[in-house]
Amino acid sequence: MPSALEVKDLTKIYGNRKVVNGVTFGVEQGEIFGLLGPNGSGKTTTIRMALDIIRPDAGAVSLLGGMSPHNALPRVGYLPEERGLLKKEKVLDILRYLGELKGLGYGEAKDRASEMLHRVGLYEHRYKKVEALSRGMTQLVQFAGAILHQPDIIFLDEPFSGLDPINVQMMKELIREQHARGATVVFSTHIMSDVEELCERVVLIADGQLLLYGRLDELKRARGANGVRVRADRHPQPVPAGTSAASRNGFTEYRFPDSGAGGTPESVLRAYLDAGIAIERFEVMLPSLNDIFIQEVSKARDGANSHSR
Amino acid sequence: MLKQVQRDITKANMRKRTRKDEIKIIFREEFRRQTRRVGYRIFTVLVPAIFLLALIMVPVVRNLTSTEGKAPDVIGYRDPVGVLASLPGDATLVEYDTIAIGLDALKAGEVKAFFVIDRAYIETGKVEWYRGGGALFQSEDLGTRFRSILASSLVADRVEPAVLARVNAPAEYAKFRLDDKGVPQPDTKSDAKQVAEFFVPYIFALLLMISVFTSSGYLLQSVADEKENRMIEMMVTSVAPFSIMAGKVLALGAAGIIQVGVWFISAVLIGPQVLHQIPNAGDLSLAPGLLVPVLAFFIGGYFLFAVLMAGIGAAASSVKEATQFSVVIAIPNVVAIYGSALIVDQPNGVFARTLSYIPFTAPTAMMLRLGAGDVPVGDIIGGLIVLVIAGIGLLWVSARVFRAGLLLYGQRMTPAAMWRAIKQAG
Repeated sequence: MPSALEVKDLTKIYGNRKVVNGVTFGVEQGEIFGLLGPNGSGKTTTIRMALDIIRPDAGAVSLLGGMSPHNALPRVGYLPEERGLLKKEKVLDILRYLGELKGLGYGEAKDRASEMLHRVGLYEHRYKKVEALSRGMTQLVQFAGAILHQPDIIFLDEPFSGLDPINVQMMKELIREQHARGATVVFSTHIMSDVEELCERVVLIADGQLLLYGRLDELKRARGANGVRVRADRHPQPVPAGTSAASRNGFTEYRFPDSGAGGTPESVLRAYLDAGIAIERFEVMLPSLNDIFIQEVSKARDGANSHSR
Repeated sequence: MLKQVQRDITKANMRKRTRKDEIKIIFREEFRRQTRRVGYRIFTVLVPAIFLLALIMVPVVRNLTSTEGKAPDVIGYRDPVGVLASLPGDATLVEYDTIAIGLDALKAGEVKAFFVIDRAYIETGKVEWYRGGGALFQSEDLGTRFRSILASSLVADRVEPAVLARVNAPAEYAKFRLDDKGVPQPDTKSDAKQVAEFFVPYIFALLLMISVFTSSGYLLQSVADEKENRMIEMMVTSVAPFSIMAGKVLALGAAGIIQVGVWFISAVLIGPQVLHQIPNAGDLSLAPGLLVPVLAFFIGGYFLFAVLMAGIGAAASSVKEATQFSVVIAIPNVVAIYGSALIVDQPNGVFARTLSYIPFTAPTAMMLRLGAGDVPVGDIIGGLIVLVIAGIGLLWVSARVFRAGLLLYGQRMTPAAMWRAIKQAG
């Protein structure tokens, strides 16, 4: 099955700066894919090149199995990072227009717009002007505009920024619905908890460079455990070498230092067994995506700084 | 099940959309927005409303100011010197023994004006002219009439009656005007007709240019607004930037044509009726045959300014900045408007013809020339060709600037960036 998106050696230069530098990754059809990175890392530029909004200086993009941009665009949904709608227009009219731009007929666009407004809980506001809505409501309307034509692939650039927890939850449900329908979702963010909740595969970009790419669970396992959690009626003293211990929620958590010169899950287990302590529960802790993100970005920046010296 | 089938069909049809379809969608939306603007609707009906108002008011004003069939106003005077002593009896001239009695008569409305001839009148020519309190709009005719009476009286006993009659009517003008070749031709047009012949094409050209700039200004605002509101990013991932530009240009042009059409129809239907109410304005009317070339220059002029405004709207950092740039674009037409007297006076003169071949002044100059007189067909065609070529060239440049400038949020497009955009292929 052709992939939904293929990006190969993608590069974009502004002035003297490579804002995207030789990035390569692929997004499979029907998956939820995370495009991660700190602010200014090149995520938005990468998305814009994928959508043919801006032209890359090098590299290639293949969207929906190599379709031309003109043919692909009606099958693409997009929620840009720079959000906004025409303030003086009515909500229903704007959504209907966005649907027509995506190729729906006038009547169908209007019906779909009404359906989506029902879905996001804004149907009663359909005849209000956009300027009368709150920021969160406007974002929901714009998100509705990105998906009302049932696209095959949806790009969401920082979809949750500026939303309250309730609206974030609603948007996550909508993303899951689109995924269940078979759409591919690519969303960019720097909030790792959202990625861990929704994504199967991710790519991490920082300062235009690709740092990580692959399945989330594999990326975590590749880094090895960074600790274990143990529930037992007592604990070995002293604390197993190369670990730092803390109690949390009825467990004792043993953390291993990043340097890798500390303890391992096996050494903690041996400590308990040697002390003759019965273990009720023993869990290996993999690094969180947030930990991986901070680690990788810091490493990349330290490397870049030492090169420049 | 049926809904799913309908949606599958829709999906299949969506894939077959052409550039023309995209332009149609944008056209429809922009046209709807433009024609719903309150300002657009008011401006469209304003001109016919003014014509209708003129149709009603001209006869009313004429009645109020006309002196036809009315007896001349009675003038009072005080003549201590006896200048008017030899005046024949005239019921419209009343002499008063004292200034006080004369002023009382003026206050009472018995006389329209009261003149007091100074004792040293022969040396100084001084005459005091008293008017009533409500005489703000009192005609200067009364002063002219009394001057004429004084002149007659001064020479009455010293010249022959024929000379006296000549003093009262010193000149009957036979007017001539030099044509384009410098040959004198009889000029039999009344002043009213000459004024009408100047103002009608001038005002019409002015209105047309206002419509061109209003329509293209709305286009600039629409582009800059969508850019400022960030909606443009969702649009460029739905349709090609060129389709956005083309749809907007066509929609606002169509709205402008409708507006101009309403004005033209009202001018053709009501204008002559208004002019017929004005004495000696003659049969001046806007010939329906003017419609084709006038519309052609309106469309050409609008297209030229519209594509330019679209590019400016995309290159500017905000709606405010875009509007400031657009003022500069209006300057060539200001030149044409300032020169309108010369153009209307000599529609086939060098100045008028030169402006007709400069793209940014051609629409105004040609519309003035068409209203003022017979314009050679060669000039009409030549002016249109210049407009079309300039419009296509600008469209090519503007489309590239438009595409590149759309996403420069909050930034003005630098000249270097514009040049890069123009050089970059498609």
